[in-house]
Amino acid sequence: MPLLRNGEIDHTVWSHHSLEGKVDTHQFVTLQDYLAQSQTWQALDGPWTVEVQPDDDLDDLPKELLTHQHLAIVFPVFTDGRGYSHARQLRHFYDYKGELIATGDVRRDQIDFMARVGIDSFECSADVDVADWNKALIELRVAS
Amino acid sequence: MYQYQSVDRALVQQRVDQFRDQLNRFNAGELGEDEFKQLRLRNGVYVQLHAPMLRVAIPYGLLSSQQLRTLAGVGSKWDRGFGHMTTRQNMQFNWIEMDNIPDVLQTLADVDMHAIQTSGNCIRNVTTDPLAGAAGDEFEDPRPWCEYIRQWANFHPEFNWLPRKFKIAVSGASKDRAAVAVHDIGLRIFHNDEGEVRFRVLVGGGLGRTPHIAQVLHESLPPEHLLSYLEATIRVYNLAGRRDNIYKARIKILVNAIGIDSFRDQVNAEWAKSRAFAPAWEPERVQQIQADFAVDLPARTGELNLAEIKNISFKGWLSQNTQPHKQAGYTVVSVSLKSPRRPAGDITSEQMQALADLADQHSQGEIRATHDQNLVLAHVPTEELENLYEALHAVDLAEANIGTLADMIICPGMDYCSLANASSIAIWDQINARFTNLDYLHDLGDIKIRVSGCMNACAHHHVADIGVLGVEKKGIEWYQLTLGGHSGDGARIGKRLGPAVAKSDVAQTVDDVLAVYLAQREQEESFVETLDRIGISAFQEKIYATAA
Repeated sequence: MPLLRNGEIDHTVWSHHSLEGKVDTHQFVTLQDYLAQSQTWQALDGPWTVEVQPDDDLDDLPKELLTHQHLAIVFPVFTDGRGYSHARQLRHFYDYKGELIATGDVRRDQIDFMARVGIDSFECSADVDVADWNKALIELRVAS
Repeated sequence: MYQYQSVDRALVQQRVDQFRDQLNRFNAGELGEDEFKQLRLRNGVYVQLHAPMLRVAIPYGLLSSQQLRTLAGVGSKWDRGFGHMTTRQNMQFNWIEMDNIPDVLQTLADVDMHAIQTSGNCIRNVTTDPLAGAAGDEFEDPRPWCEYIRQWANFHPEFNWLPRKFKIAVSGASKDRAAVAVHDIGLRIFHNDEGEVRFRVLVGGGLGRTPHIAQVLHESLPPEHLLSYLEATIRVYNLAGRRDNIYKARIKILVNAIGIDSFRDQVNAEWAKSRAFAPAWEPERVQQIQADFAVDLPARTGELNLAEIKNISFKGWLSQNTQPHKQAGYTVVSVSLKSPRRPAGDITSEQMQALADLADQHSQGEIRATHDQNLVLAHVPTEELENLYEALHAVDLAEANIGTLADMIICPGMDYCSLANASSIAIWDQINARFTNLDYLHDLGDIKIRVSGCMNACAHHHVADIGVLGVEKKGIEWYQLTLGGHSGDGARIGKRLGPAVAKSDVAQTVDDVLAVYLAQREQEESFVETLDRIGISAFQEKIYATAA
């Protein structure tokens, strides 16, 4: 799936890593699968991202992930709000400075709240109306 | 009352525009049913049996006369000429067309009102004591704190998708009139030995299918930590609350599953981690909000001597529907929405208009909503009471039944609600028809009857002296009674009387319960005191012997 990034669609195709599959760049990988082959992932030349699942405990994230350039937060369904708390904890308590990406069931009307807890980029389908998604980010402009 | 700042006004306007756009996209097929449902819920829009229902927030239960006139206008223009007061200081409209809702929200926004977060799994309207600022037993006016919490809770980015709805109530007096112990979080404000403001934080109260009384989470929280502590508490719930079963998703289930001590440990651990990045304490902002709520009443000396009053109906109303004000020369007036001629809690647009005028003439232009589905004029000069009574009586708002058995709390039931098993309004009519003698009601004293049409317990039947719950068995309505519940200080859940009774027997059963109480009560004993002394079996013997 592409990402809405810095107000534009990044059409680079990201996929979700499966255990049987090859460790490769432009993949989202679960924490468990990452831990199984962390050195292989770290050796890759190109972007990859661990996905924090709603059930994950952030204290289990190894230190190197907290300085990794990207980290994804999964929203399995848009009504599951645990990812918002994870984003906030990552930004503040864990002092995560890299790019936070929302993946999963990410919808136009939720991205404003996601941005306000510190999420930068949003998994989306290739045909979204970019101007409309950007508008969603400023509909409640004065909410902080 | 609190004056909207430009930021509040801009936000509410943006929210109206946002909802109008969401509805347009839904109508155009660009927004799915599942997603639109969640978006409309967060704007107070339910789809009920006959039509969408709009739940309008009345923050801290306080309305200006202008706002009440606007609600009257909404009722006559878009509904069927009335509105309905809920037990959580909201007003509901039951007959609004979906396509009109953006215009209704715009009309409300124009007088600083909204329906934001009045439903959905987010932090709901913060409720409080309807006598705030007027009661003599108050330590601190709770409304500025409600507003402080509201500013934090509305559009809180982290807590818009909680496992389930989240209700907060605040009480600032020695007597709890906000039912804080049956809320997800209840806050009791008090003064410590140094005279400083402190909050006793209760957590995990709630009714519904699994009723629980809240437990103490923090005994004495200083105000500078209020928001950071609420954030830590709700974050623990957001991450650990169950999401697999809607009936086990409230915070009360989590607290009771792991125990209050373990829950407190988790909150404290989260608080230690997160308090540094919680919203900063801004005492100046709180002081500004407090200044907005302060009402400066001119000194008055008017008094009434009950013994000298000749007008019997005025006298009855005075003794039942008024309470002392903290300032001499003023009286707190309850406006009964429990006329037997209308469903409990309903108020017509004409009545709203008349009441708005009376509030301007007699009570600083403000009206309060209560948890008992009534309204209050809080600052009435005592010398104006008789004129006010006559004016209220003329519009059928002076039924002298506040606190009596006739002051029942009733959910909308099958007449409106798609969840209900039972017709609460028919039960209301049945009980009203049986108990018409006001002298008898006054003799019974303060007895609460609450009728819920289903397990969701919207009328909070568990905390009534006599609770009535509609249940369905093989397509037939039955009614289960509970006795001895209470929602204020010493809150407790009522006990089941026994097998459910037939619909036609509800009023008779209530009558039988009251007969046992009247026969057994000693001196000034309340219903609960008699029940505790003689036990529920004394009631069961009478009821089920009669039935057999």
